[in-house]
Formats: sequence, structure tokens, C-alpha cells
Amino acid sequence: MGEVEDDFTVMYLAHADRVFAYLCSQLGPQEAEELTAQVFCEAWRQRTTVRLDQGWMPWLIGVARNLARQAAKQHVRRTRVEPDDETVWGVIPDPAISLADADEQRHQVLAALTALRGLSEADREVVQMCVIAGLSPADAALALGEPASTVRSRLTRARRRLAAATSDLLTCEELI
Amino acid sequence: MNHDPADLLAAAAPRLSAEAKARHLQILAAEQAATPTMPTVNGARRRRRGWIGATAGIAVLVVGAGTAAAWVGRAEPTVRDTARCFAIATTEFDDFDASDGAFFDVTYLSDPVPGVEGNPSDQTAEHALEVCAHTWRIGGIAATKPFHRGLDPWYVDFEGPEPATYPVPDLVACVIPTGQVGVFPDTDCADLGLPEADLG
Repeated sequence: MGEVEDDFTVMYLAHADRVFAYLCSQLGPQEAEELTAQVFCEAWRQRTTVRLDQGWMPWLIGVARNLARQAAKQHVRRTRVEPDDETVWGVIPDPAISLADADEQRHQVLAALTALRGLSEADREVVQMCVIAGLSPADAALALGEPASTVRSRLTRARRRLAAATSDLLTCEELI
Repeated sequence: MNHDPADLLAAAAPRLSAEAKARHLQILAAEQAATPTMPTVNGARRRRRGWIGATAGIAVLVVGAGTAAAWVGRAEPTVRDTARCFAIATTEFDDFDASDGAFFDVTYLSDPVPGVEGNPSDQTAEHALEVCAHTWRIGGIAATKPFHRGLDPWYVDFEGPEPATYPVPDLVACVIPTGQVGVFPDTDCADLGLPEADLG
């Protein structure tokens, strides 16, 4: 394997988890895994033409976004948490917390994921990019093709709405 | 126990399994075989730099590749057998030339490094702070160019005269996009857009 291929493998290992997480926030884990591979194959094919002023992540997430949209046209975009989502979401590795606390935390994560899927597309996208994929607002702005200031303000608003929606879900469950 | 949902989602974000990554690398290898890259010519190759500890068994290698990206929160390193010591708080986490050669990787090889507990090669991550602090202390890394205090960057002889003791800055352990622990002086992980390393 040549140096370029080695470097590409390093790039894959550095970014694959975050691309996968981004796709998992809107698709099932199996489909997200397949599309993650497609994203990096596309990156390999376009490696000599891609402009990487801000690194690979904004570009990778931009490709992942397009693939996820195409997939959502073929199926129905997930608007709530499905059983297979629970196999990959909700686990926060932290040996310091008790089992009961871990269960509670897992419950809150799944509620947050449900709330996220219920947000408007504009709000959902900035959370998926900036929170789950870990892009900076400036990088998310590149992926979305919008001004960074717009993304920043939208992210603030989206986080607030996500918190309110999650709280409502948890409160409803308590009442039931 | 209520947390900010966005923080929870960030912390609980799914990760690919090792099996999935292996499958992906096979797919990528097939793609690369179908569209190979011409070999790079001399001078276009990335500069590499290495240090080898003679008897104390600390080897330091640099492999520059990949790109920087922004992370926040806490994370576990996914690469545990090497750690990356930085001489300055740079965001060029993986570009040796762009960082002016301000980082190198450390790997335990055999014997314990003085002042560093433990030695298993798969536990470098847990000792990243100690290993990098030790390297600062003996002058193997310094805050200004050439980022060491006269030591031949290819060789650190722990068996020679007692090495000088230099001040060690405040060090922080973050997870850099390569998946390694990156140890930086006089900064915070958040300032670099990185998660703090959970060294468990």
C-alpha cells in the first residue's frame, strides 16, 4: 500500500466514527454503516479535486447529508426511535456511575434522540452537525452552504428547543 | 439527574464497531485498487521524524497525515499504543510540516522510563501525561524551535549522564482526531476544539 493510501486510511480512522454518528442520527444503524463506507469511497474518488481549506470533515458531512437525503427518499426518514437505534444509542461509557444512573442516562439519551427527530429540519441539521458530528459552526456553515453567523444563532435556538422538547417528553412519560 | 440533551447526545453518539471498520477498510482497499494513485516523487513525501530511547525503551515517531477537526466534551482515545506530545498549543494536530515539527509520537518499547509507572505497550494512553512530562523534564521537548534542547531528535540516551531537569509546563491530555491522546502545554482542550481525554 502506498503513502497516499496509508494517509487515506488514517483519515478514515480519524473521521469515520463521527460520520457514522451523524448518519445514525437520521437513519438506522445498518444503513448508516453502509452509507459511511460510501462517503469514504466518494472521498477517495474525489481526493484530488476536493478543496480542503477547512479539513475533510465539512466535506465528508456534506456528502453524508446528500446520501442521507437520497436514502430518506427511498424509505421514510426516522421520526422516532426504533428498536435498532437502541443498539447503538444511549450508552455513555462511564464506569464511575451506578447502573441505575446509567439506565437513567440512557433513558434521557433516547428521549433526546426522539426530541431531535421531532425538530424542524433547520434546527435538526445544526444539532446533527455541530453536536453529534462535532463540527464547529464555521465548518457546519461550509457543509450547509450558509453564513457561519446564521448557523451559530440557529444552533443556540435549536439547543434550546431540543432541551424543551426532551423535557416535555420526559415529563409526559412521568405522568403516564 | 438531568443533563443538557445536546451534551448527552454528543457523549452517547454511536461509534463504528471494530468489525465495521475492518469491513470499510476492505471496501476502501477495493476502491483504491480500482483507482490507484501514482507514487509520490522525492520531495513530495511527508517529512518524518523519529526518536529512539536507547535503554530506557522509549521510542518516538512521527507520522503526519489527516486533518484537524473540532471536538468538544470528553472522549476515550481509540488509539492507545501511542500518544502524541506537543511542544506548543497548536491546532495542526496531524500535519507535521504545518506545525513546524512541534509534535512527536511516543511508544513504550521495553523497559520502564524513569519516573513513569508501568510499561505495557497497550497502556501508553494511560501514561501519556507522565511520558510527555518526562520528555519535557529531560529536554527532549521544549516550547521553542527546534522544540528540543539540543538532543538529537533521532536518539535519546537515558543511559548517559543524568539528564538535565527542565521545567515542565502545565500539561493537558486531549483526544486528537487521530484517536490518540494529544498532550499539550499551557492550554485547555476546549480552546483547541478537542475533547478531554478520558484516561480511565
